[in-house]
Amino acid sequence: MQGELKSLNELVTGTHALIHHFSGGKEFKNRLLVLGFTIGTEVVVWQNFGSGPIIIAVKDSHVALGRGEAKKVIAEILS
Amino acid sequence: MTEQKQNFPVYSKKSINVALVGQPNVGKSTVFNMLTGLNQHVGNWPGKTVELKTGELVHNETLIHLVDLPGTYSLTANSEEERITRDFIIREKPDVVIAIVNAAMLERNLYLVAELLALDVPFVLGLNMVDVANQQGLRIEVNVLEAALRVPVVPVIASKNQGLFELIDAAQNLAESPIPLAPNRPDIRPEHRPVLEEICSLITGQVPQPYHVDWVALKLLEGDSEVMEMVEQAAPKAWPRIQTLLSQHEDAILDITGGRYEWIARMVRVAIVRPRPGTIVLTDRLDRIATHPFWGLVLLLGILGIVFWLTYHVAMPIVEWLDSALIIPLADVVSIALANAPLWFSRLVVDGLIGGVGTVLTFLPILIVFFTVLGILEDIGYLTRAAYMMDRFMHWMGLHGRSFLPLFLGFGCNVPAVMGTRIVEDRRARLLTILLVPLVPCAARLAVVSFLTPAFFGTGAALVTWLLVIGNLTLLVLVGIAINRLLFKGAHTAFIMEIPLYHAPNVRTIGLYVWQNTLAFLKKAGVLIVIVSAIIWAFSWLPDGNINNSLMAGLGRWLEPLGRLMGLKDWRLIVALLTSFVAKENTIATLGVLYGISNQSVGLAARVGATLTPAAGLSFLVVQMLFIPCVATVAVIKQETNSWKWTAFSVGLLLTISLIAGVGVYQLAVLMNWGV
Repeated sequence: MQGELKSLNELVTGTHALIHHFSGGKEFKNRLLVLGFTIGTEVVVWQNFGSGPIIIAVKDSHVALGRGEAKKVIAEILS
Repeated sequence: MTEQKQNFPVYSKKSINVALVGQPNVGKSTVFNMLTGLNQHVGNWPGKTVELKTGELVHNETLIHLVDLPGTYSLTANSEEERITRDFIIREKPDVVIAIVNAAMLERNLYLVAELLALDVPFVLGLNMVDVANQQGLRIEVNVLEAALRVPVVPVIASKNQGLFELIDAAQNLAESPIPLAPNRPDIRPEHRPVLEEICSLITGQVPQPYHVDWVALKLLEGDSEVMEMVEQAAPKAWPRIQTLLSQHEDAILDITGGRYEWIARMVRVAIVRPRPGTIVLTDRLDRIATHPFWGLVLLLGILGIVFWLTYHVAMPIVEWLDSALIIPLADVVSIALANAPLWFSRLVVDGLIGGVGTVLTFLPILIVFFTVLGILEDIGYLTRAAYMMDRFMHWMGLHGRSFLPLFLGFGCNVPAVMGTRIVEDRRARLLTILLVPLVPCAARLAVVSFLTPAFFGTGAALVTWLLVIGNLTLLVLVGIAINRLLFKGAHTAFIMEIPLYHAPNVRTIGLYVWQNTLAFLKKAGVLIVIVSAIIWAFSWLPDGNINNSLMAGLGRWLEPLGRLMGLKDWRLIVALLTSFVAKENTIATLGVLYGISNQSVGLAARVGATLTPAAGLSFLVVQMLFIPCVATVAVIKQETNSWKWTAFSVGLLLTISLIAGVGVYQLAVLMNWGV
């Protein structure tokens, strides 16, 4: 039962989702992995006002992502 | 167990080398500051722009050399900080590494620990901010964590100076203990074990000292560019095969990082007691305002307003007091003392040197106010919120939110603005920010403009001033876009930034931050400012002591043809611009001397205005607003970029821009038959 796949920037505040894959380059991917965005990790969209950067809660911490960066992280929505 | 080693005679002072590592926002600097106090040296890593902090303390009659390694999230060669940290641990082999973690973010912080353990160094874990974790409802069982990791774990509250003695004790015991630690280490997932083994066998015996084969193989599999280069050179025969293996396992990094986090989860599973879900902590409540698209902006502008209020109402009175209580009496005393010396010598000392020292002193109160505010905002965790708020606006120049603050501070004074770019971590973005700072009109330039515009434009003065400021900022955006496209090939710094928890500011950390930044300015920029002031003084004195016949005047006359293109037919205006290099407000003083009118008098502006057509007046003001930065700014640009090339580029860039803008404005006015 797989949930819907969406970019992080498309998820509204409060959504819980599992990291599915990245569409960015190697260095971009590495930086996010190190911060805890490993495949299958549950994240929560902490703040997304529809424009500008967003904040994601991951592994006890909060990480701000630019809108362009958030677009490159694909996650599976948990209902 | 801690028997004394034989090679240490009892009377000799023992010493050990300890390295402090940790991810950003774990309070590592607080630990370092609490341990070493003023007993620390701040410099740069050889050939790098990354700060190197070392310090000493004596503990149980042992001298402890402490190195504060740069804060890094991991040990992959993604950034200069990461390279410095891992090279130091591998090559310098400190006796003990103390890793500081934030108890409130244990899992994420242990990632660096997972990487450190692979380096096989004696290792102590400092569990910091235990109080913050407790406030959040997190409980950490230290003994359980210690048993799981099989390394010493010491709970610490650095900001309250609790547990630091025990932390150093543990490090010292470990350094002197003959029994090596056998820590629990993360293992690679089974599906990648065969390829890791094959790489190991391919490079065995070919890895340069002091690197370990296992570690190098793991880093290859992670796709670490620096290690790949190293192996390509060290093992050219095996390289093609390694390359094939690596391209077949390009996704190994996902598994390796995932594996490390799984290992961490196993380590902490029984050690952490979490709060019930849905607990709303103070940080969340504050962030409802601080990161809100509207209220966050209001808050940010309010804070910036306070900074400028403090500059004008606290720093400036101190500057004036220093001038009247210190510099002027000093100049008087020295003048009298040198009454019998040759006139040129006494003028050089009084006008050149003491004048230069006065300029340096002028900046001190301003710098202290700016760095205190910046230090507080950084320490409580607000700066990252400000960066988050401004990110959308800084985007077009390839910069991210962090660059906003130093640029905005430039309105007060460009000097702390350039130094303030230290908060921008990315080197390219930081350099671009430094290059853009001088385009922000500082208070001194605005003062010159507000002094002259009423005489030049009468009732239109406010509008002209406003247009000049808008013009500068428009140019800033255009130049930013252009430099980013042309020099940095449109590179864009990915905006990925941790938002730390808010916490109470630590007086010692902020005090040391202000002290170190101010000291750096005095030591590096201060000397340069005094020297250049003396040289400029010499130019306006030689050969006969009359500025009208001086070398500076000669230069002004020689540049007259260029001035004419801008409508400036009088060499005195050019000299006024040239002397603004020492300090922007000098423009007025020089005009006063050259036109023979005291600069206090309102008549000066009117007199200068009378010699200029409105078009020429406008072009003069445009050049004044954009001209090469003052010597103090140039000195800190050199200090912060650590490069004469970029300093020269900055000066050349502004010289070109200001001249083109001046000529352009005047010629356009002539073409449109306005104000000529």
